[in-house]
Amino acid sequence: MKLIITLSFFAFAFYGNAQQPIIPRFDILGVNEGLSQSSVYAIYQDKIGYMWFGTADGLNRYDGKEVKVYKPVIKNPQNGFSNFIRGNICEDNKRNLWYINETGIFCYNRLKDSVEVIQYLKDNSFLEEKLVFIDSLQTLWSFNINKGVSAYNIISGQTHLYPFPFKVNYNLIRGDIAYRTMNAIVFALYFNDGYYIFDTDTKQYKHFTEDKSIPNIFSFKDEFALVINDSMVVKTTKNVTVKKIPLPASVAKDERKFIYNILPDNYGRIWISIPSNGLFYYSEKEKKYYQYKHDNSKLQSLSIDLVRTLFIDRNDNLWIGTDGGGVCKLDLKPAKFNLFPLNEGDYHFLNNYFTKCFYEDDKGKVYVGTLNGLNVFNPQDYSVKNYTYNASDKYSVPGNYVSAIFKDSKNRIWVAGSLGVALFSEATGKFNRIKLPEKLEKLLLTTNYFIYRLIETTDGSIVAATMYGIVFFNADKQQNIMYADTGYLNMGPITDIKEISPNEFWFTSPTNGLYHFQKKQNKYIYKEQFFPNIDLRCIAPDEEDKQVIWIGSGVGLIRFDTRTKQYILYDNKDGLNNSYIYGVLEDKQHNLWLSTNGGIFMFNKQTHQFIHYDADYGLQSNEFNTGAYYKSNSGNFYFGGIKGFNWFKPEHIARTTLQPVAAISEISINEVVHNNDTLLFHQKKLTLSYDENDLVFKVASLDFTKPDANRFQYQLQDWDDNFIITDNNVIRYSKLPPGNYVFVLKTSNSDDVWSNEEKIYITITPPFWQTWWFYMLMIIVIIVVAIVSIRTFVKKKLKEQQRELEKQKALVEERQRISREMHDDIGSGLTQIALMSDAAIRKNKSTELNDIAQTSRKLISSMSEIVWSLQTENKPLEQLFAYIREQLFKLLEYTDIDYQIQFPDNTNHIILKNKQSRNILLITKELVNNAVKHSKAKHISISCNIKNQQLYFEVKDDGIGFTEFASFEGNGLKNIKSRIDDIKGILTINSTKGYGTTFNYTIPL
Amino acid sequence: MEIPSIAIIEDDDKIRHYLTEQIHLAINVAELRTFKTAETALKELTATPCTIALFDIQLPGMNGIECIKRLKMVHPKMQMMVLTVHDNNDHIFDALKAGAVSYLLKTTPSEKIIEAIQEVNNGGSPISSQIARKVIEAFSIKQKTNDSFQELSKREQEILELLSKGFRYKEIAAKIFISIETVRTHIRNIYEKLQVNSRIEALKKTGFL
Repeated sequence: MKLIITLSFFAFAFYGNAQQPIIPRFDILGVNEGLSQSSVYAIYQDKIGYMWFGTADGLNRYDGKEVKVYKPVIKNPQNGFSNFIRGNICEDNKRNLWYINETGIFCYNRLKDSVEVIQYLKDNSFLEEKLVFIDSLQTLWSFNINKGVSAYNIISGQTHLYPFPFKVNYNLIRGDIAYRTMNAIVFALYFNDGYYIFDTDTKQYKHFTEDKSIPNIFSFKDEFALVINDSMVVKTTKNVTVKKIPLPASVAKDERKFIYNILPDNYGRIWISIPSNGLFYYSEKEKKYYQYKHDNSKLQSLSIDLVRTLFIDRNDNLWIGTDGGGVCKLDLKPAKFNLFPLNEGDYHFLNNYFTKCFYEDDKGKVYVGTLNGLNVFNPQDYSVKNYTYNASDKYSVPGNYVSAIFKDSKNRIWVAGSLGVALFSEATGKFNRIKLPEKLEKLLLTTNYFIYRLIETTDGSIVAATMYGIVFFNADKQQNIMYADTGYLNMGPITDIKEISPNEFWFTSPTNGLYHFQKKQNKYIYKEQFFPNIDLRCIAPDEEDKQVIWIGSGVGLIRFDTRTKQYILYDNKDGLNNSYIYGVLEDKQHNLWLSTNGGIFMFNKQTHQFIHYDADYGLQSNEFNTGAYYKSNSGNFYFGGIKGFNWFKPEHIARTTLQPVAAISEISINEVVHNNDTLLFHQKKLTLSYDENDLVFKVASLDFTKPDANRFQYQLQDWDDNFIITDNNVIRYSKLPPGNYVFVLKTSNSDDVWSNEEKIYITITPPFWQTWWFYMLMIIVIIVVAIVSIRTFVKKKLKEQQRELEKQKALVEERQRISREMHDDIGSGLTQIALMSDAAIRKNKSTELNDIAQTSRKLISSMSEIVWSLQTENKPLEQLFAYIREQLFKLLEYTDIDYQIQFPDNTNHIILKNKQSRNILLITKELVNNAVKHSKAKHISISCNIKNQQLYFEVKDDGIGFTEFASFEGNGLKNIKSRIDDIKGILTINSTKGYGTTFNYTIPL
Repeated sequence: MEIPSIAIIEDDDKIRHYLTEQIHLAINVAELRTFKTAETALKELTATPCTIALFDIQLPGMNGIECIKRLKMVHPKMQMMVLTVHDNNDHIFDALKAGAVSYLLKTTPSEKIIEAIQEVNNGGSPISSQIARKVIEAFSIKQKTNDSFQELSKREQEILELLSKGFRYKEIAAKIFISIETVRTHIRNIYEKLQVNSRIEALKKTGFL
């Protein structure tokens, strides 16, 4: 479908023009560009779009930027093989490629991205075998000079030989044999023996000898062609003649018939190659041949004349495999721009093609002003008629530097040259000079290009923009002979002049900017001036808005509104890569075409986008010339430059709709090339572990027309925010975090046609310590660990506490046990002593026995106290008070002493240490005991107050008192003191003889 | 003082003799029996009870408290006193729970012993502050667990409080404006209730309640 569209465009372009010739620029891919060897015998484009070249030393793959060489690895030196690729490269249904030579059957394995020897072929030495084609049953059909036709089935791995029905005579074998078609192999082994057809369906050999001397056989699409009687005869494998093609007459007769290849293209051309004569194509429409040979003097000619194989890829590029010159590529697509000259050396009489101006006549002939005089060029046949200056011929062109050509409304052709101005007559070929005033003549001679442009005003006068200013030409009264009138000759050089609206003239100057003049009654009046210092080169009135002019300048494209005097400058920042503009032309779609120092640009007035065409598009060069821009009445645009000129019709500019193919040719993970696996190849999925996170994509745009102009648009979804456009074919991502990504790639070719999307789905699995379940697990583990450790800790603490408690309890119990046992034993003993003494007293009253009894009773009571105080560690104060009260009662019960005990209430919360309780008890008891015994008191009061964390005790009696403390020393005062000290208390004694004693002791809590 | 019958259960011969002697000297007792073991005492006293019985706690075989408990079940009106070497509150409290109404230190002077016996005969029940505290505890813990739990009256609580602070009957009576007799009666009642509660608890343990 795309092909039809392209062809119809092209057909359109044909209308009115002959078949556009091909611009003969061959791109070469040789050893310097990475090819393994420069003899290329097989060329193939695989189903994806890569180009494959079979050389004498290995298989090469080309992606538009790089060449990758494949050779099988030598596994066992005993099994030798040769890398000479003969015959055809074929592709099976698994996208693997196959080729055969006499040493083996080779397969390029798509998944492994390498070539392997599938089967070694022995006893074939020095004799050729080559793969012819692969059939739908996945059988490789190969042709062996020695043996016959072999069939190797890829699936079964079985080989079957169909031997020749005759014995091979090695003496008679020719150098090269031809072969193949769809279902048959056609060959001729010997001279003068006709030819054979082996039908792979019937597996039969058939011999045809109607014309015995068949010099060569070659495949022609689904047929084959032979040379018979000085023409190429195309036949089917059933030996039916399809057509006859003549042979190129330019080749010597006996060489002519040795055609190597024949290949028709999509444009009605048949390409053939003849050894040592290079490449030809035959135009069936024109019925003529065009030849291309290697020529050192021509730019980008064929690399070498020995052509081995031809191949046309999907983007209509012709690939030429040569013997010693690598691979050449020729773009077969209709050129965007017609080019003159096709080759520099085409016109020997022209020593250069420096073009200054144009004029196209109504017959389609192009008048070109050059430095070689005037050339009249016929685009039909590319012929040139050249008119140079001849000093002795006054009717010759006025000077060899022709700088302006113009046809006025009276059909006069003005030619301005370096020596004058003349009117040209095509019929006579004569240039009739116009007489110029002397002043003008003198000025003219001072410069090479005097007149830049000639225009006709609306009122019929001719105005010239010259090196020094404006010159007018008016008709004389007879309307016949023109003579010049001086105009403004002091303005400086004027590069262009246009009448924008009646009587409004605008001039551009390379030094003084833009001038606006008005014409009033034959006088030109200066109005205004703009952009005084900018180098302006041309004016193009806007065809949509008459008040707007477009100016080509040295700094860019200027849009100038003549009413508002507003301007807009478009330059590098807007996409105009080269801002030095010579010529501006507007086309029917209202796009502007610019010629610059950097090629041709098309400017879209709406979108303000620039499309750039550089010399690679078939321009004469990148540099164009002032004044060398012209739009003919027939709609042709002409731009002239330093090496020739281009012409085209903008609406017919061929733009291909053939898409490029986006391919990812290699993926490297952590700097190691990742081997293709079925998952990646078929499902485009890549699953990586977390540490495989440095990815390099090598990408290719498989359109070989202008590979340097191919661009890539890519995005790693969920990583890159936007699409990125680059012409770099290596794309790297480092340190990608775990996640799911999609790598999306699109490529564009030199015609800005974008490919389909190529995607790869990438999953980087997180390391197990980053997965959600690991996090969950970790959280659970942490919680569990926390809980367990807290519990263990608590348990431990509890256990410790318990142990402490138990220890304490054990201690306490031990103490109690000791005290109890002691008390029991001693107590019972003492009891017995007391009882026995009582009994003895009854029998015998005795003070000693009384003392014994009393002492033993006292001992028992002391022990009770000890036991009491050992009962628990800490007692509440209340219990102490209770116990003291009881003990004091015992002491005071049977005395006549009046006593008072006052202790504070609600002291259950104050806990005393064991030591404190015991000491307080004993102190109090001792003091009261003393009072009872020694003070002779009538009244004793015991009290306690609690204040400020202190216990204030008071034991007061109204007895005799004492003055000498010494008398108390022996009575236990020392003990009391030490007890008080022991519990950090303070003791004060107040005693007045005869009035009693007060003991105050303060115990801190 | 006239007391119909007294029993002394004490394994120490000397003390037994001594006590017997003292009692005989001071009290006009019709019958005074002495026993060396709790088993014999139990047997004999179950058959023929006495008015007041004095038990030593430490006895070979069954201890005194157990004996008190069993006898109290058979003869609730028998007044039992406990003899202790020292005032071990736990023993005393157990004895009270079991059914004793008084305790005596063995080493108490003979007058005191006689006095105590007399007191018991009059219906009094001597009690120390520590014992009082234990009684309070006993009544407070069990309050929540038992429907049949005997609770103390307000007056009884009050008296028990004062006892736990170490005040004597005289002092308590003066403090709350009742007679010493009333104080004594209250204390007896408290003991009764304590005994009932402890019996109930025992029965609960055996599954009868």
